[in-house]
Amino acid sequence: MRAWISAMGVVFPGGKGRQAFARAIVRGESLAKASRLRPEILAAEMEENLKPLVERRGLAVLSRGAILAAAAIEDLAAAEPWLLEEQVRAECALVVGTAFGHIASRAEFHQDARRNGARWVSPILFPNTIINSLAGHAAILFGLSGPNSTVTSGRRSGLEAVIRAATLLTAGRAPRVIVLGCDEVSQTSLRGLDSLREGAWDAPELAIPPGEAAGALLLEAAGPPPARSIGRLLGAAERSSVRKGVSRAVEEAMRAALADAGVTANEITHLSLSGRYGGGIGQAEAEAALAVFGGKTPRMCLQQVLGETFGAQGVLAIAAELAVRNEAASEFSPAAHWPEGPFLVSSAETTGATCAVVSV
Amino acid sequence: MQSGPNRSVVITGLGCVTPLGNSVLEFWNALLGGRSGAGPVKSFDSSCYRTHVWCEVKDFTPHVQRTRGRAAQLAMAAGKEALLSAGIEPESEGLMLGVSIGTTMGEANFLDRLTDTSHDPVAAPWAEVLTHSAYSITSDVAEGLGIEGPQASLPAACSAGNYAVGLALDWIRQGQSDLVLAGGAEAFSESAFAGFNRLSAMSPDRCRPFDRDRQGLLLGEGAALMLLESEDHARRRGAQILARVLGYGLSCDAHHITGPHPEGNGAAACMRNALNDSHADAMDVGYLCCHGTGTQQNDRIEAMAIHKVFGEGARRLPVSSIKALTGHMMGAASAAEGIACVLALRDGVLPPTCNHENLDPECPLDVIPNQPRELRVRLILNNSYAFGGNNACVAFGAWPGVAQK
Repeated sequence: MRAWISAMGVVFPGGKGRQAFARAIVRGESLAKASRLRPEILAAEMEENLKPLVERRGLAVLSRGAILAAAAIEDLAAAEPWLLEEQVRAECALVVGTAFGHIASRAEFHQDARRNGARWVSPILFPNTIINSLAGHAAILFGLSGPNSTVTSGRRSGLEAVIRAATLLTAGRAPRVIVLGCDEVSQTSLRGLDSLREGAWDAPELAIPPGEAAGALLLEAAGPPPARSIGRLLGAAERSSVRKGVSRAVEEAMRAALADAGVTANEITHLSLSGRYGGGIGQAEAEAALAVFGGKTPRMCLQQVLGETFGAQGVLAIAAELAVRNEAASEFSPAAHWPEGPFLVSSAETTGATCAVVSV
Repeated sequence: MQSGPNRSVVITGLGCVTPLGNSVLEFWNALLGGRSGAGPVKSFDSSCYRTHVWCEVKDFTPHVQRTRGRAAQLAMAAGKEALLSAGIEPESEGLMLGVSIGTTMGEANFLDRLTDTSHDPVAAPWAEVLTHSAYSITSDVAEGLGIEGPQASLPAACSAGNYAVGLALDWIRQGQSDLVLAGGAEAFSESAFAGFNRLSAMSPDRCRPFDRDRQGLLLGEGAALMLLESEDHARRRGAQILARVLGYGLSCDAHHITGPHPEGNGAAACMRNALNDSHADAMDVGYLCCHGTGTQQNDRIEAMAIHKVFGEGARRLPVSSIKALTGHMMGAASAAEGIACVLALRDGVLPPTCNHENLDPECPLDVIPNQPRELRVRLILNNSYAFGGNNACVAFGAWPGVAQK
């Protein structure tokens, strides 16, 4: 499963764009602060009003998640303006990975129904309650008429989107695909996470703040390299936890991704793990990484900077590595020590694991 | 495992739970017999809405624990039937079996409870809302049926079933799986009922696709799954092959979040893409199973798109919409329609468009009215369109010698 990665875009609580993202990643400091939704907890949130991030009309009916998605695509297209030429966008596919992209809109719809009566609930709110509305709105804003798909698998959503995009490319269903990972922080998601944690947000062992961000990657079909490339998807794999448990699923996914990429564990210079939210899942992922790579391969966890970004995590993790490595040659001196060579990104969930091997 | 774009993919198992019946046999008999699944809403008080009719799954007893959502329960039952009919035991050693399920609203019954409890943040089922997102349908089915291969949840709204079948086809072609249980699942959702009511898309009584006097759609629920398998794998184990999956096509309108492109460009593009993927020509198509929701706009635009692809041949191409009987099962709709396509190929009989009295002159098509048409065809297209402009079309081909009649 191979593809070229020829551009990226990102919006996150520290700003917008590859360079700002690289700096934040290398700095490694958490962007979490007192939540605007619930000041008593920490969260890595964007500004309340996201509309200034997108220089397009038609944002009034978009959900917060859809605006985040649009901002990431706009950032990507700013670097590669040819992407929005009529013939190119007419063939360009879009695959969105999101865990909870519609949840806040669904709650808003229900609240409106309760306030105004179900008979008079706003028809404008209804489309956003449907999960693929992020991808649909993004396609409308940017005129993307190729295959348009949404995948959802919790925290695995972002990497799953990368794999589905590669599948579309391999099948020849589009010459290029924008892969988007996106999730927002909302009252609904905070309350849900509260219930799942069964404990206080500030308990040290659970102190992983929720985060919101969106990352976009432009994937192009394997073969001769495109005019510009910032990275290359070398291989990927997904494994279910059914009958084998999460730890073994992660280990198998890591080994299968390496085999698909044709590289050994020793050749991997950096690991990006999805982290420890979810208690046993993070521990299972760490155990699997130890079994496959030993203890010496340097590793990072995006949660340290961006908090738990769920469906955005996999795409953002690839974007983070590529941003740092592609910015390193410029004035960005701290990145000079960032490892070179292929890296592996992992996303673990109760349902299993998804891994990808990428190089610059 | 073999792979390649020309790897032949066949269907060896079918399963469904629908408003017309809780097995493939009941579903098909009702379709051919013109028995509607519509009835008054009983699941909740519909008095505050403009319409009061929908298509409910009846007499359904879940095989699984109560904590699973209704969509997963429906999908589990359909999956069991499909695997049983194919003679597949999911836990067999070395079986590369995947599962790919589409949906529109996900596990809506948990989300719908927000309406009752949103005034009380403590009482609201927030954790269930998160843990019963759309992906839990697929993961519950995988866990419940012991499926260890690749999993995908494809929330592509009302095209989701076709998306799931298409991904399954690519998985098998690309050697990621030998067999995939693929289709769609949708549990009834009051949110959807409220939303479609406010969009004035619902019919107050019957669904009448392509009829001059059509008034809209009826919502439905259900699950439909089919077992896709590589032909070489099916032959090796001596499976009964029902039909081929020849190809599929996707496109996006990129025009409006709920309405189709006014010239049907996206709808036409996905049919053309499906034909290209199948290495087939429009002349090869013998029947078209329409999206045919029964709304004014959908049916008119779909007819326009069919004319764009088939030209003058559009007036002679037999088409129908089974939504007149099943209602619009949203995420499960195109998968159930896919099952109808497979059975039409197998039996040499095309299902009718019921409730059809006067053809809309803006839909100049050969709509099969009210009674099934006996006709053996070799290639069928199955259309589906969705919110977000998500269009998907799957091409099914006849399997020689499978005829049951």
